[in-house]
Amino acid sequence: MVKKNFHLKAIFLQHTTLADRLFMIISALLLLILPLLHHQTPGAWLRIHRPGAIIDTYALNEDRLISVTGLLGVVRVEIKKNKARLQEFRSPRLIGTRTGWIQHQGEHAVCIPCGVLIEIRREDHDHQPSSFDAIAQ
Amino acid sequence: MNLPYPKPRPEILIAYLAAMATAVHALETILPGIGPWFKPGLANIFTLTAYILLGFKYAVMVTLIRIIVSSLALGTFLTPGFFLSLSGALLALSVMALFRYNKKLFSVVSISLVASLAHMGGQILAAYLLIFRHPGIFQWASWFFITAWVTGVINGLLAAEMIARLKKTMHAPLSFKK
Repeated sequence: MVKKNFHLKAIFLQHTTLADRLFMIISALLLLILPLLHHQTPGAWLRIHRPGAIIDTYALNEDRLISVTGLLGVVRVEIKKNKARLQEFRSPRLIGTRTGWIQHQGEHAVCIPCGVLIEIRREDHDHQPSSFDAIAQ
Repeated sequence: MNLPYPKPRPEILIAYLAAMATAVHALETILPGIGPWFKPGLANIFTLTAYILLGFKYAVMVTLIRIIVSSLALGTFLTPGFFLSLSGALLALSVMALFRYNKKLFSVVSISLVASLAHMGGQILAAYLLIFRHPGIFQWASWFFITAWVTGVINGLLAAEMIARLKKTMHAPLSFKK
């Protein structure tokens, strides 16, 4: 019988120094704190961006399916029950699709290769009368 | 030193490491991932191996060969994904060079960890600077960094084990004992 010589703990202890382990613990703690800093407030608007431009803004309370032409072809944006999601089909890792539904203020789903980003907003300042007044002045 | 075969030349080892890195990189792209933020980054094992066994110059060569050849094979050469990959790899290599390899203080595992974090940071920063100048790019950064931490440690351990075994193979005296 072949002797098993692959032990994870032994490999870990053999290949790491005390400084390594301390560095791992400190960096892990710092990284775990970061997601806790996010606070969540329900959003009301969905804004679709492409590099350097805003495509449009939509209310989250109206269900709809939007097709956007990205750098890799058509990308679909779905709004349903105050949530939104991005569906790309040709990007290598499908990160935007895998992000799933987003609904809180400040949440984003992005497909970098497609050049499409969707963003949830609490308020849509561009559609406020005050914004138009400011432009008119 | 008694070797059962001629001592491997750096060019031969680079060819092996670059070929393995390219194959693994391409496979990772084709295979479905575990989650949106998780990419194993196993190709970095070969970059680390080249760095420790041969030197920084050779690590740069392995990385560039991997990125260019795999992007040509996958049809992503000069696409946004190619530039993101290149940016991440260049920042990771720079951090590796700064994070001087010191056996007494930090091992290859720490180098792998900082390289993995730098790789992720480089890609996110490049995405912001080159493609989307929108703060939303950084929203998921913390999750990307957490997965980069995990893959950095695992790849570091795998690289350390591979380097140890390669060193044994490369420098083992000829033995006829059974």
